[in-house]
This record gives sequence, structure tokens and C-alpha cells, in this order.
Amino acid sequence: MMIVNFIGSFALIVLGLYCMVAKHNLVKVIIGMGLVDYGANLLIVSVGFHAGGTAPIFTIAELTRASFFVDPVPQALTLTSIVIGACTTAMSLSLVMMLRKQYGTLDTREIRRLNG
Amino acid sequence: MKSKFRKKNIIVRCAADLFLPLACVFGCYVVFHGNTSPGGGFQGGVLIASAILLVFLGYGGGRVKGSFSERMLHSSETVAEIMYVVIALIGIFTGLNFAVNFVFAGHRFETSNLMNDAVGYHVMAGIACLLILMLSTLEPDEDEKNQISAEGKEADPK
Amino acid sequence: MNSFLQNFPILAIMTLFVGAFVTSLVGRRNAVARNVVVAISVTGALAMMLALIKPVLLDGQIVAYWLGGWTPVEGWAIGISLEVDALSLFFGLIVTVAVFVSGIYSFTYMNHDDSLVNYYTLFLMLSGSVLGLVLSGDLFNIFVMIEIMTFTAVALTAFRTSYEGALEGALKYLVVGSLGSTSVLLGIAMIYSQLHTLNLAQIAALIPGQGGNLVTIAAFAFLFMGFGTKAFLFPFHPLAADAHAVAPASISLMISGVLTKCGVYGIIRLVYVLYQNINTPFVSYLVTGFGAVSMFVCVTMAFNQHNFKRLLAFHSISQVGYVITVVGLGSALGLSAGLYHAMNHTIFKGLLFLTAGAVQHQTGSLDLDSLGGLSKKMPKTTLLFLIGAASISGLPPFNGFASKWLIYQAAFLKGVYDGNFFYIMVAVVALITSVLTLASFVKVSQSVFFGQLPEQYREVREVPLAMRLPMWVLAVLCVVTGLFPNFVQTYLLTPAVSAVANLTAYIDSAMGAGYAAAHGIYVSGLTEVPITGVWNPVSWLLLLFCVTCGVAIVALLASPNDNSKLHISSKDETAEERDDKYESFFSGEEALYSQVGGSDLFWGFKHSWRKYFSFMHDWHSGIVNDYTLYGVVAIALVLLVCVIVL
Repeated sequence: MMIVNFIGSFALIVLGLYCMVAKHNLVKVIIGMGLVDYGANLLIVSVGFHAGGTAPIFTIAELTRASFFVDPVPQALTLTSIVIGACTTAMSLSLVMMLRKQYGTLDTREIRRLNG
Repeated sequence: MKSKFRKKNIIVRCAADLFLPLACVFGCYVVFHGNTSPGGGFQGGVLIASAILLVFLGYGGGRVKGSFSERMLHSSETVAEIMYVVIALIGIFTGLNFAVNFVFAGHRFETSNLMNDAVGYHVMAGIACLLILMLSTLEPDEDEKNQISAEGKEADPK
Repeated sequence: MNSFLQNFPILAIMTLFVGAFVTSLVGRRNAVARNVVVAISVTGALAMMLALIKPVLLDGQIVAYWLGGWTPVEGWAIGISLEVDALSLFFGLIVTVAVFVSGIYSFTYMNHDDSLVNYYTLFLMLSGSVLGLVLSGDLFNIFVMIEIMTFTAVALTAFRTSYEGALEGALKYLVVGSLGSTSVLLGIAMIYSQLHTLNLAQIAALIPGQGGNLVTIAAFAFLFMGFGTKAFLFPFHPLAADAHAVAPASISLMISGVLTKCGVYGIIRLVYVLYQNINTPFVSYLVTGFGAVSMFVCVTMAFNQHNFKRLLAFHSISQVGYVITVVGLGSALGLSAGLYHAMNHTIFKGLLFLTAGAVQHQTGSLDLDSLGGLSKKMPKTTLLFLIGAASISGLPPFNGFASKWLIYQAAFLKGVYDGNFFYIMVAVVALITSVLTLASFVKVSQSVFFGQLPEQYREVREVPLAMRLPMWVLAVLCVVTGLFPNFVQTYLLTPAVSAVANLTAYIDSAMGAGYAAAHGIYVSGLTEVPITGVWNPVSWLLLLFCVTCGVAIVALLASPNDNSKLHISSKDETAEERDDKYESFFSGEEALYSQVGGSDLFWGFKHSWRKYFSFMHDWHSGIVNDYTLYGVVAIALVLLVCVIVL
């Protein structure tokens, strides 16, 4: 069942990488970065899944060895990674805004003053 | 006619008044119960900060700028960060490890509660700051333009 | 160990982070308070790291510190830990010294800029995250620290937004750097899916039991390329050059001296501690090959540069290539040479970047073609630059010589003992790279500090003492570590190398005694730590022969058997072809202004290699898609080869 998630996450990553490599619009490049991030997040969440497990919440009931949770650690990792991904996107978009003001274009083929 | 249509609807304003406390209370609930239930400091902080959007919808961008001080929020963010570290450091000064559960050992109430609250405070201030910055880039709508020009006329004779 | 000393690693990290927050709180109005807070933070972190030298480096203890007191339960590490062994502390010392110097230098260097409170907040967060990375005992925290490090470095690169290209360099760094971060994250996810733990010590204990599990091997490839991105290895080097050239000089010091060290630290941890597969020939070839290619490509790229700091940036990656090369050899001599060179690289490259910053601060320019003759106006800076240049080129009294000597020895001995021609070629490439480095720095010193002083720099003055002081600290360190290599070897390198070799202690101190033995980990292949100065005349004769062959090949390649030969004598040139700039070499002083610009000193060499140089120039196109493509291709190739071979 999880195999669908794994295939999906790698498909997302590959699509994102294609977007980053082939698209010459900076905003599309950043969308590609986001896609790569989402793929990685989906992979981590899928890694921690157990079929039939309950949500890993510390409820009123006492914790025993018989309680069957899905693995909470990957979910914590995913939350962290989502926040980091949001920060990356925000930061790169703000850079793109300022670049647009300075260079007057969003085409990566024209934003190449540093080369050689 | 057009300006009348653009005017802030009374229903939107009443709904904003009604939901503003609800959003704040629910956000605080999520923050305070963060360590035992879904959610936590981050999500609760975002919920509280989104109350600013309600103010914006109901009263417009000028009111948001008037009601919240961006500088104050920025300082609160820093204070919350320092609070988090200091709570964590108390563990060291009681002779135990960093971020150790130093109060009420064995109880439900833990250090992580306090740290969670600090996170909530921080996220609330940070997201609110971001929202205000974002809203300030929007164009002022018709009402506010009239208001601004009216204020300008008042200020002119001086 | 004194129990309070155990808290020092976390306190050092928190000093830097709290310093960042307090700076942004009090520094908005009061510049003096801001500087005091920054100075206290960087000094405090340095002092705490120095206090740990005695128990960790000299007594060989390992600090395993569990945050919140969450020690392992039934052999599973559930908490977050800091684990400081001698290797971590070695890198921690490098980081804190560089942070200290950079912070002190910034006080004067940045005084032309505004919104400095943001600068210092980001600077301290960058320092804290880097220190957290090298001291962490938890794989996911390493990822988080890498991300904080990348953000703050990007923001600081773009700090002078009006500076031409600053935003562009920052965006390229962010986009291509995100490939590395994602790669690390994927590696972590794969490791977690197989081992259900994130603790470095526990992973190190469990991985050998995995055998030929494809997922952990893929995780190895991802983690290696992720850390390689952070060290700016070969296909990722253009972004380092872009970021360095536009960042403030104090941040260039941080990027080159500290951020690349994080990548180096990650690779050492990965191949020596986590996977322990450095003795596999394939891994050794992989790491050494990446290092050798980046050291050669970057040093040749440096020849083409006209910007002072961009040139230094390419040299920086070239030197990191040396480190990675010898780290990949898998011998104790190689590892200690790598660590020694990593330390020296921070010192001399920091010194060079700070002198570049001093030139920029006083003249406002970094263009090698327009500068010249500054030694008359800035004699002390010139002296400092020459110390740094001699160190990086490996001239004997300075530290670059000592570590490069060890590097040649390590590569060559490995080649001779294994009977492997590849490592001998690596030694030859290292030598050629060193020669090219020297040539490149002759060019820089000629076109910036010597020659004729241009008219517009008549009024340039020496930099103030507050900026020279950090440079002097680094210059003294250059000389001291070069003059007493035995001292460095005994007190810094040997403990670090033995900490890497003594894997059992690393695992047991985190997971409880006997954990390593229960999982069949005893001692890794590194057992013997040699002493400086291994001498075998026959080997050196062979090396001399190889170098002669290399020089002969270069000479043959450059042999003038085609009709494009340049005529140096000026008499059979027509008048239009003559350039007054070269007249000072060949004839009397006909031209009034005879400064040789940045691109002219080695024009003969560049002419004979013009095809290579023009290919490389086109290859570094400056388009962010191209750089991403190189990175993706490299990651994919390494992944494929690792999965097939390992």
C-alpha cells in the first residue's frame, strides 16, 4: 500500500527537478524547489506509517506496550521540514522580487552577470 | 454608487467582531494543550496571528496598521526566543541537563508546556509581523483613500 | 569529567543563539550595546570550546549529552543528543576561532553599511548553527542546522543588496544549495526507514549489520552528495564562487572557512564513522576522485578571474579539494593530513579574504585590472597578504607547506604500498595544483599590490588597527602552526584521528558500555597514527620521475607545432597588434602607464590552453538551470554507481 506513496514521492521529486532544470522563469524554478520538498516530506511521512496504527497522541489512557501507534518521529521530522520548506520558498520569492526590480526580468538566461 | 458597493459590509464587520475572540481563544487553547494533543505552539501561534486577517477583512488595512505595532511584535518575537532558551537553561542551573523537566517531576505539567508556550508566543508575533508586512503592500481601497484624503485636508490648514 | 563541563557544548551553542536574539532586541538603537553583545557572545563561545580542550582532546574523553535527560531506553536512542569527541571538538575550535576573528573584523569593516543589527543577528545565528552542526550527535539536527546555516548564509550574501550581483549570487546559492539539503533529507529518511533511529552512534552500530541493503547504500550516496554540496565539491563549485564574490569579506571568511568545513566534517563522519566503508576501494576512489577533480578544475578556473574575491573563492574550493582528496585515502596519515589542511585552510584563506576586504574597504574596488601598486599605500596589508599567499602556495616556513607535505606523502605512500597508479596520479595532480596556486598568487600580488599605482588611488590610506588586528591574529597562527607541526600533530591531530579510529568508544559513550560489542563493532581499520616526516628516498625518486613526466606532458601539450604560435618579439608584429602594456617586458619605457592587468601576466600559458579555458568559461555559464543540471546529474550518477558497485 505504501508503495504508491513511495512512487508518488519520487515522481514529485523528479517533476520538481525537471522544473528546476528546464524552466527558465525564476518563479517556476522556485515552484520546482517546492515540489522537491513536498516529495521528500511525503517520503518521510510514508516511512513512519504502520497499517492499522492510531494517531500518536498522548491521551488520557496510560501508555502500555500494547498500544499501537504509527511512528511519531517521522511526523515531527516532516513538520520541521515543512516549516523549513516554507521558509525557503518565502526567502527565494523575496529574492526574486528584488531581482526583478534590479534586473527587470525573470528569465534565468538574462540573470547571469556572474559567470565564467 | 461604486464607492457604496465597495463599502465594508456590516455583515462582514459583525462576523469579524464575533470570530475575533473565538480565534484568539481557540489559538490559546491549542498552544496551552500543545504537549498532549495535536497541534502545539506553532499551529496555535498561527491561529492567533490569523486573527489579524479578521481585523483586516472587517475594518480594512488602515485599522490594522493603527491597532498593531510592528516594532512591538518584532521585539516580542525576540523576547519569546530568549524566554525559550532561558526556560531550557534553568535545567542546567538546577544541576541537571539542558531542557530537563525541572518543575513538577512526574506530573502532567512539564517544562515542555512552558517551552511550548514560548514557541506559541514567538510564532504568533512572527506570523503577525509577516501578515502586517504583507497587508501593507496591498493597495488601499476606496474607503481608505477617501479617509486618507480627508485627513490630508484636515491637516492642510496647519 | 567535571560534571559542569558537560554542559559547555550546549552552552556554547546557546551563547551564540541568545547573543543573536539579544542583539536584535537591544541593538536597534544602541550601536555600542550591540557590539558589546556580539563581542561577549563570540568570546564566550570560544572560551567554552577552549575549556573543553583539556578533557576531550588531551584526556580523550567523550561528552555524550542528552537534552532533557532522555537517555537511551533498552538500547534505543529516543532523545536528542550532543556528542563531542575529539573530531567534533577539533572542528568546533576551527569554527569558534573563525567566528571570533570574523566578528571582531566586522566592527570596523561593516561601518559603511546600515541596518547592521540584522547583519549581526544573522551572523551570530550562522555561527551558532555551524557550531551546532559539528557538535550534534543526531542526524536530523544536522539537517536542521544545515538549513539554518544555508538560510543565514544566503541572507548575508545578499546583505549588500545594492552591490552588483549580490541578489543573483544569493539566489543561485539558495536554489542549487537546496538540492544538497533535499539530498541530505532523503538520505535521512532512507536511513530512518531501515534502522528506526537518528542517533549517530546507534546508526554507526547498526549499519554494518545491514550488509548489502540497497536502501542504506542509496542513503549513503544521498548523504555524501548532500555534504559534498555544502563543501562545494566539483559540480557545485560555481555557486561558491558567485556567493563569495559578492558577500562582505567577513562573510566570505565564514563561507570559506567555516561552511565548507561543515561539509568536510559531514563527509568524514559519514565515511569513517557511520558507514565505516572507507577501506572499500570504490568509496576511496569516489571521495578521492571528487576531491582531485575539484582541486584541479578550480585552480585552473582561478586563472580566468578578474575579481579579487572570486579568484580567492576558486582557490578556496581548490584547497577544500585537497582536504577531501586525502580524507578519501582511508589511511591515518591521510586523515591527519586532511584535518591539518582543513585547519590551515581556515587560517590562511581567512587571512586572504580579510586582506581582500581591507583593499575593498579602502579603495572600493576588487577589480584586478584596475588596482595596482597598493604596497606603497598599504604596506602592512601587503605584508599580511604575502604571508597568506605564501601559506596557501605551500612555501616552507608557513603552515601550508607542512600540511601539503603531509598530503603528498599520504597520497604517494598509499599509491606505493597498494601498487595503485591512481593515487600516484593524485599526488602528481596535487603538486601541479600547488604550482598553479603559486602562479595565480604571483598574478594577484603583482596586479593588486605591486606595479604602478593608478591615478585614482593616490589618496588611499592604510586600514585602521581594528581591522589589522584580526588579520595579525591569523597571520601569527599561520606562522606558528607552520613552525611547530609536531606540536599541532601531538595536541590536535592525533587525538582527532584516534577518536575517529576508536569507534567503539564513540558508540559506547552514547549508547552505554558494551553496545558496540553486542553489534559486532570492534575497532575500525584505522589503528596506527603515524608521525610527521615519513621518509623513503626511493619513493621520492619515483615521485620526482612522475613529476618530470607530468611537466613533460604539459610541455608537449603546449609545444608550438601549430601556426598559432605567439611571437613574443615585437619586431615582426605590425603596429596595430602592439599593446603598450607589454612594452615594459620587452623594451624601453615607451608607455607611461605600464601596469600589467589581472589577465595579462600569464597570457602565454592561457593562450596555449585556450581551448580548455574557453570550454570552462562557457561551462560556467552563470545560468541557474545549468548549475542545477550539473548538480542533479552528479547526484544521479553517484547514486547509480553506488547502488551498482556497493
